[in-house]
Amino acid sequence: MSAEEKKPPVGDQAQSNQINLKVKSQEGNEVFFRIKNNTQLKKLMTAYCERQSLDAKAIVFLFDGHRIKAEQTPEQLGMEDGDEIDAMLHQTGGGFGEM
Amino acid sequence: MDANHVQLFGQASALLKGLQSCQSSPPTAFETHDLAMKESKGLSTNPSLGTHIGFEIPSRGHLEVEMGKEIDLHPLDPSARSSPQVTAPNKIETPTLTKFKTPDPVVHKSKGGDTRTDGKRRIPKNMDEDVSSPSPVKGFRSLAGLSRGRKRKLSIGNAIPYVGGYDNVEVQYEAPRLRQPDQLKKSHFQCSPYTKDGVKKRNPPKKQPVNDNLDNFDVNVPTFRGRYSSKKALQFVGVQPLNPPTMAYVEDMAADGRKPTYEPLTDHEKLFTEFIFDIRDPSNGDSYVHLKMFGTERFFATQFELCSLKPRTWILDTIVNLVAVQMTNAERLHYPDKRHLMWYLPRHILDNPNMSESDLKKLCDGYFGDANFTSDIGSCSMIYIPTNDRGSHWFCIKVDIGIRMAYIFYSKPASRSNMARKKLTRVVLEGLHRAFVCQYGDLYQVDVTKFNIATVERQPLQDDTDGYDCGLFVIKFMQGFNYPSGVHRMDDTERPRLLMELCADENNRDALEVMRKFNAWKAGRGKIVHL
Repeated sequence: MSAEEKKPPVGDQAQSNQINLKVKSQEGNEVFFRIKNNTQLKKLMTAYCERQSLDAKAIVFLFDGHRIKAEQTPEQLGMEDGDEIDAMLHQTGGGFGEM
Repeated sequence: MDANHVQLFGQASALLKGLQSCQSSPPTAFETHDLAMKESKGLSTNPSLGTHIGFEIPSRGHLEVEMGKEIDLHPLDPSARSSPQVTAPNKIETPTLTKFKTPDPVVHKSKGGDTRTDGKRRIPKNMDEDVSSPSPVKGFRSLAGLSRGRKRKLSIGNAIPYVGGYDNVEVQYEAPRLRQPDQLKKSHFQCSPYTKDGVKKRNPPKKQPVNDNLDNFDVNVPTFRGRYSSKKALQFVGVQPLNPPTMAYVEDMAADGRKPTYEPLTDHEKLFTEFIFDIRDPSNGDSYVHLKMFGTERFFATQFELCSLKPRTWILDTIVNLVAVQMTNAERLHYPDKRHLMWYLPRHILDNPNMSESDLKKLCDGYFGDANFTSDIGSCSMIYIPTNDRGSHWFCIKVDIGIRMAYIFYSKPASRSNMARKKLTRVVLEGLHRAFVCQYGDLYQVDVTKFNIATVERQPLQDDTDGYDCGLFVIKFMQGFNYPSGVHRMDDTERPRLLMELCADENNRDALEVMRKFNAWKAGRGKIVHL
């Protein structure tokens, strides 16, 4: 569990530096995170995968149709409070196993 | 028994006696030890009673007296006789040996049949016909009565076959009957399709026209079964089988599409492919291909994801999305006013039937519009939507706005999943319709949900043993490569070439970084110690 997620706001300065983000899965499940603007989103991704018991390599995070890199920060992507991130599982196929 | 019955019985006996006297055919001799029966029945062996009949049968008592005179023995007690069929007493010539001998004078006097069958009812018949005799074997008929006579012949004239072990047994045998010419049907004369020349003349296959141009070639190659399955038979009917030597012929005809190149990889390309597939750190999330669209970074693929382009590996959606970006960029180059005709959408945006309005608005902001994958709706002609079928198969939906049709490109032969695939196509079209309504409003005139759904006419198919190339088929379909209909095997160079196209794309933001890593990998390659 990341510290940013559970840490209560200390003051107005800290509160203004943090934003609430929502991660939504394909099934519609939503998980809320609070993260600093200048924190790499890798923390959020790792926390989400741990909570959902998912492999980090098997999932893709999209923001406004753009894929998010782990090194990017909310500030770089221009995220605002309450923005939504889509968590999409990788899809693959080859031809066998069709029913 | 009352008096009336006795009287009636006596009248019946008198009538029988009179009837017997009128018989002209020789009656069968009956012997009985019951004297009452001898007297009551008209048939009697008593010479005194049988003199009026046309033949003589000596009585037993008379025979015994005669035999006793010859051998000087007393006649046997009638109750001691073993069988009533024995009509002559035993004649013992030696004290130890017993020999049954029929006295000749007495037998010759009889005008009846064979003495061996005296105890049985004998039906007088011609010698040529069968004799009723119990058969020792079911299904066989004895010829004992005919052993001295003429051999019976079958009605068709064939000899009776001999059965070993049964000298007197005849096999019930019927020779196969052949149809007479007037009994044959017309079809019996046409059982063999070949004549004396060895050339089939009945229903000759229509000679297929040799395809000289591209338009005719899309007609599916007819499948011949049975005797036409061989290559020689195909040539006989004028169809050239699809094999590697004819691929050049096929490619020449497919002039309107992009031609696949099967040039072998150079050493540099092989080395680069080896570098991409050489994963030192699987957890490394560095992007190797990060394509930009209209100046903004859109999708990227890590080294791990690029490894799905390895041979015999299922292709990830990341690669398909990169190709969609690549194709959209290529279309925008031809139409600087952003009114491109071909739209290429990435996957996993339209296959959710339960999208809320907020989700739909977000979807339109992220993927539709001039800054994204689409442009003016009035200029749209085709929309390519790569779709994943339940996580195991890639297929592509091509929406033709002009003729109001939706085509399914499916690289597997038709199967029972056709209905499920059509349902999924309907869901995607519903999502596309909602997105268009949300994005373009009144400019959106056609209703894509009312489009007819059909399969692509010219559709290459995966081989039965090819269970990993469907993503590559979809990518090549989106790229406009024109493969002939029928089973097609992807060349081994297709995947490495696609990998290098993505890495060397001019919109790849990480191209220089990848080349730097590649040079470092080449330099340090000799220092790697393989354990």
